[in-house]
Amino acid sequence: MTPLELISLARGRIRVRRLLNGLAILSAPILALSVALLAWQAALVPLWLAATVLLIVLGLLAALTKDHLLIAFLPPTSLEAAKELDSSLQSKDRFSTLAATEPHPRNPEQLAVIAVIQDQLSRFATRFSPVEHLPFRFVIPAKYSLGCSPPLIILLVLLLLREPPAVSSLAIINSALPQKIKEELQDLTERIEERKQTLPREIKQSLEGIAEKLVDSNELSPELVDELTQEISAVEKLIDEHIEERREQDRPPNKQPQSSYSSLSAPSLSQPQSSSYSQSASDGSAQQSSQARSDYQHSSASSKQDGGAEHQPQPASQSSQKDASATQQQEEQTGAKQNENQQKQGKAQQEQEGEEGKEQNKGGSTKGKEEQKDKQETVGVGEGRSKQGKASDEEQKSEPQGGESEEAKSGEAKNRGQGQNQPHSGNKQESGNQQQKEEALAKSLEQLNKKLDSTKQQEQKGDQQQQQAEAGQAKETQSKDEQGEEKRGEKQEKQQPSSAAKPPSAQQQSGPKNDQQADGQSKPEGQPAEKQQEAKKPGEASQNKQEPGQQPDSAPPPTGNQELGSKQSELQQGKTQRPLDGPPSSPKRFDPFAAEDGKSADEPLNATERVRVPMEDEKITGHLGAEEKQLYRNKQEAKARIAISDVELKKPESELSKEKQPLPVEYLEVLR
Amino acid sequence: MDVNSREVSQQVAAFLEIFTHTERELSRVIVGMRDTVRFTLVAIFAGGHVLLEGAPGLGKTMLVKSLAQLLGLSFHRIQFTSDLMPSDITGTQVLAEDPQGRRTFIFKEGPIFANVVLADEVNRAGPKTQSALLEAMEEKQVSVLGTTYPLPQPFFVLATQNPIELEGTYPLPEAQLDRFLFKIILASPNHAELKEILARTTGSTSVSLQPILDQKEIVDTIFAMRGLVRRVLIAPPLEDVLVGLIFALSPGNNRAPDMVNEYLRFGPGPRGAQSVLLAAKVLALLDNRVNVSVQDIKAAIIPALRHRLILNYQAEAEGITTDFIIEEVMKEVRT
Repeated sequence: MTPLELISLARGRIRVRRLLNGLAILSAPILALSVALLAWQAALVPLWLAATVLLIVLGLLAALTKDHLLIAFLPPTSLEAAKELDSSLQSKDRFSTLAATEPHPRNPEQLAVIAVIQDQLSRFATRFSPVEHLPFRFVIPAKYSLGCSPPLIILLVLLLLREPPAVSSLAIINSALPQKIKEELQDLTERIEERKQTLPREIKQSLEGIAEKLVDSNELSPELVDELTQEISAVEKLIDEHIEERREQDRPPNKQPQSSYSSLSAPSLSQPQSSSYSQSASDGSAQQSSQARSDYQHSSASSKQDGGAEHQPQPASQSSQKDASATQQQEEQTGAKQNENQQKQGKAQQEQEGEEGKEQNKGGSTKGKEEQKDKQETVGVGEGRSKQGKASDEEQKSEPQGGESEEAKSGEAKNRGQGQNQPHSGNKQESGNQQQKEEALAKSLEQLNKKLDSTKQQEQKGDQQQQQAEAGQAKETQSKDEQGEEKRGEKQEKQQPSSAAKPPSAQQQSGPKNDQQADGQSKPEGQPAEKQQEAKKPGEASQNKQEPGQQPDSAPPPTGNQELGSKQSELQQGKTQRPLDGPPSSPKRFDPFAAEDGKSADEPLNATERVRVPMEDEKITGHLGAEEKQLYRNKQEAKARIAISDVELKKPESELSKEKQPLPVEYLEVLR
Repeated sequence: MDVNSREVSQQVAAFLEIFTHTERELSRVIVGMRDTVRFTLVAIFAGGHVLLEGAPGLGKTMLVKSLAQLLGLSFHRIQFTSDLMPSDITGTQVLAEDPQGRRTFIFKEGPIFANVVLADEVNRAGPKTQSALLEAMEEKQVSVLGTTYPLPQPFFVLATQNPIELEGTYPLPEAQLDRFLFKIILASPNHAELKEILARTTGSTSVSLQPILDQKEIVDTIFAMRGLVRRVLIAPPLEDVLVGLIFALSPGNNRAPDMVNEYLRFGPGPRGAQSVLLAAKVLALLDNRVNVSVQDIKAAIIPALRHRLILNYQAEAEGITTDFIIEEVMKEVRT
């Protein structure tokens, strides 16, 4: 092989190598651009981010490759191939000289020198091996690019495998929906995406259908709004059912030790009582919850119907029951007392057994199962935990239950403008404008989002509790057995003197305990914050109703943990201190002007005037959206109180110049 | 391989033989200083002059004398002092009486009329004397009283200067320095070399050098070798490399790096590039090649350009040398 043939061979090999290097350099940028494009199409990143990625990739490509990419697709020259051969064969630029020198045919000396060079190079050609002397190697930019390619390929595969969202965020942003609905819809789609693995398929499809309908609709017609509202309420029902199912799944590990305890430790006579109690307790909790809501709604509705008539105070026993229920609600809001409830179950169950018998004797304290099941559905919105009692049952029965129960079920009466149950507001809504409907739709969406959040939290807590229950099951059973035996003995001693004729107040005082236990059984975990807040509203309302004579100055309304602490202490004092304040056998009379529990009736009453806010003007906002922010923004230009032009700028005059300087004594005569 | 190419190959082989033989013989007298000896011989075959710089007693005079003895060339030594006049170098016309009794002026040749001239401590003479020598180096002729006298060929000047005793000296101007092909800096001998020097110079044995060829043959050989050197090819890309290096060492040039602009007052001229290329060609022949490689250029550039770069005050204050600048530029310039 002559040196010139060797050079041409090297040219071909170098060309292939450059092409492969060029492709290797381009692999990572192409993959990166594909990832950016896919991410943009999947609405994971906005357009500007994808464009930024594009620019960065191009910049990096230019910086990394420099001229590698440019020369990659150009065929190498003979001189370049000769240089490669020189460097690989260490021929000291002989190939370069041979390739670059153009022999002059009339210069025999030059031809002779070139012949010498070729003669010397022929020795190199004999030991030339293309694989050894011109090996394929990646240039540094190609190495970087190939190094970046695997993660990009993984990203690409993940993006390709990713299920596209039903409604993209860009479509929501670009839609012509009102801002409020856009925000809520955005939240809804985010929640669907977050929980698409855990949500039941039916709920997920319904939610996606709602979102798609909203996005696809160019204008929100009243018919569409009504249709969507109905669909939302249907989905909320589905979610409620899902929550109930979930709760039922969570119950058995908590109930089982109780039943075993009752079967093991309680006497044979108490077994049917405990079982009946457990049923009645769970039913009672549902009744209580619905009752609390219906109380609140009824009071609000009645007050509205009465044209804002003053609220009639309720009996003190009922107020104490509602205090306890509100306390219990807050206790469950915190969710911190779950373990304590479980530990106290043995103790409280004994009390329940005793009280259960009384309730059974009274008869009629429980309602039909169908009605109870309906009430249980209200738990998803916010389980009212007012004490199940006779008075409340009667009150509930006396209420117009048709509309109230519907509201209690869906929990949307307030969000929907309270229109379905009240003829006046319903007429207004029917004849109302589109904007009100849209606001109602936005509120429904917000409510839906909150429900989704609550189901998520419940699932999380259910998992935690299951783990805790499995871990501490053995411990708790032992401690419960010990505590249960002790408490049972004490309780039996207490019940013997008071079992003959127990005053209703005592029954009512023990009511919160039952509630506590019943709630602890029926709802072992703390409710989600939003739901609990909603559930708290009726309790608060009832609390406001029940304390018309409370002095606002003497006791400022406790908030948060303070209130919770005070309620807990009241509950604890219910066992120990209240019997000391007064004889438990003397029932308190219903007195509209009576003072609160623990206060003497001789104390002067501070009459308070209850002011109701009309429901039409009431606006519940979970957060400040764009519209609310605009409301609080100062639209006018900020002006200084004192403008510079208002101030007259004068040269300050010294006071000394105005004063007359006294003449010195020595010049006094001269100057005069 | 045709006749011409075979002839070239033979010339290359003869060149290698003469060169290596001379080098080997010199190494019998000169201990160490391999680079000094090699570049001195390179300068002879490239047709240039050498400026040797080193401390006294390092063997500069010995090197030159041994070289002249080996090559069988005429040798003169001029000790430059401050009172040395140009005529003391070039020669002058003197009044002489011919056999007929007529008195006429005849030209009495100075010490510069020799094949190998050693200008010892050239920086001690005044500028006028230095310029007389340097004119002879460049033009290879001497003009006295309007009459031009050619110098004997080959003409080779080896000048030495002492970098230590600078008091009362006249540093050579840049234009005169440019006439030297190489400036070789003699390094002090190391431990082994010094022991060898002691053994050779203080013992009873003495080394006698014999000329490798007779005078007529050696002159023809040297000229033939010089012709062969000029036939060595350099590829255009390598010429670009050389030109790029020269421009990179020229302050103010757009290819010059910041360091060159910061420390250099003047850069090499075209004569510097010629010197580098000629030396590179000789080095290529020494490697049995008839083409210049980048390695040849890199090897020749420092001794060929170090005296052509003029440092500014800042570089001298900071102790920057021209060798350092050339090395840094070679690192930066893509070869």
